[in-house]
Amino acid sequence: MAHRVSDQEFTEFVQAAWPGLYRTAYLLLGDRGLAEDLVQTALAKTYAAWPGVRDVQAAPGYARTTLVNTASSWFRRKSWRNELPHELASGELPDDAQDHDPSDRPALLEALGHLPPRQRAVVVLRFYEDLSVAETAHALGCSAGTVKSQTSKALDTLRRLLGEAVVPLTTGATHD
Amino acid sequence: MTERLSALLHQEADSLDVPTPLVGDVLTAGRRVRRRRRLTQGVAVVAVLAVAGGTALLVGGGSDSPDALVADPAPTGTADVGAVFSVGNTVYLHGGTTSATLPEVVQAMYPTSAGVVLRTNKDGSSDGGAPFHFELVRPDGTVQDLGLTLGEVVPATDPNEPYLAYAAARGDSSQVVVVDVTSGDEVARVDVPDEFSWGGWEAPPVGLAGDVVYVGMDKKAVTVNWRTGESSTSDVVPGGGIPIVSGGHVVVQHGESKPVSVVDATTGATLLDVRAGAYPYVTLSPDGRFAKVVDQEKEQGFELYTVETGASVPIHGAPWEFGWTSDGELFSVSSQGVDVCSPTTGECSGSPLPAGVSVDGDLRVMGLMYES
Repeated sequence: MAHRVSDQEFTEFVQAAWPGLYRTAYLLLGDRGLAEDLVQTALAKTYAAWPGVRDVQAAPGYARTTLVNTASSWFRRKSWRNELPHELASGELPDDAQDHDPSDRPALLEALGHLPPRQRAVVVLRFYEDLSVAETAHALGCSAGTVKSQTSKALDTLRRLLGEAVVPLTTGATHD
Repeated sequence: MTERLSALLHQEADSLDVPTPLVGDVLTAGRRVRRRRRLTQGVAVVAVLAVAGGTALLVGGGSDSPDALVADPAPTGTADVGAVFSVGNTVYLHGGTTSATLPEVVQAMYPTSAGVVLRTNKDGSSDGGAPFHFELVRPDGTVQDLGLTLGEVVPATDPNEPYLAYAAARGDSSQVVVVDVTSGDEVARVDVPDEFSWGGWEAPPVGLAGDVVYVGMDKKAVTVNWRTGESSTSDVVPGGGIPIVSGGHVVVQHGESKPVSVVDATTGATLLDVRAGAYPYVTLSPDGRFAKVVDQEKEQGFELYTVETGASVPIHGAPWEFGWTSDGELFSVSSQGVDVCSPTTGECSGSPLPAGVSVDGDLRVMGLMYES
């Protein structure tokens, strides 16, 4: 029997879940406006599914999965790169990447901006959300092998851009 | 091995200035998704495994396009009826190209997702005009009598929903009643706490936004979720006035020579502040996306604001002559024809009235208030 949740309860859920979802969305997309759109879209879809929610405690997880799924569908659009800010969309690695101070947060954001969207998503889900390879694969709708290979490529790029102090050479897909 | 990377990601996230959630907008968009899924229900049902806790949730499948939510310039749930106006007992849709004749004079028009609900009576008068009757006119001009007769009350619709809400007196208290306009069936009747004594109506005036009916009681508005029956006092929508809530947004007056705000009716978050003379008069489009701002010290013209961006454009003409389409375009009607104006550019385009259509008589336009 589905639990009938009122708009008031959903409002309280939105206010509680919004900050965490927004932070994840920003790390995934690197743009505040798009992050806000993504969270709003994910929460709207969560609201639409609300009557079918059997366990309200699972709602935050459902909203986060919806957010990642929605971001993934955005990434698949041909026009996606055109919607990103130019510096994020260029995809070209800077020549002096190793000169960045790895403790500098803008350097991290800039480095993330050089990753293809799905590699970026893998990094955020595994090293910010602390999801396992299997959970990341489920969230992104791909195989565990794809997550491992995407993680490896992403870390190679980040190591070049941020240095081994941030991404040691021994780092691998050991985060199962 | 990746602790440093993880720490930098957390530092970056923690340093973010997180914007306030616009809960009303989320609810409005969610209802739109839910309605779209209802339309596609039966096509697919998918099981979604939540990441956290591994709990299984069963939800209906449907469109997953983000474009429909993020870049949607107009709500998809509104009925395509175009510029709607009436003259006497005839109502015109789509700028006059579709019409329907009613048994009584059209007194007011309310946009819904199923078409336009008409309030009619013997002579079109507002004050002392009861009894009022109600009909649904669909986009193709067909008419359905809702079998509803009301006295002196102020009903409301949401252009994205197929419902008409009103309040009814029950002894010394009030009830909220919701009618499905596609069938005429009463779908909810909920007791309303608090006192009502102002205004001279038989029962308090109401506003409707999604599942929530706002009821204008004496001191504060009471919110009633008609699906769950839950009610509470609103901290945002004031009492002692008609609770006009459009698309989850409401206009709040702060006093003479102070800005007028458009706020989220659920959270009270300010969406737009406008200044226009000592006594600005601000009304919202039916979907709440645009605000008509009239400086009552100016002789003519008004400003039209986009609530989300704060951008504004000037509109020439008398503000009381401009109504709204269901999806937020301004329009006016005269013997010269129908002018429809873009709310974002202010550009208007006119078209002549169709042959045989005359606006001589008691002309009324959808989007203006005809309450006594």
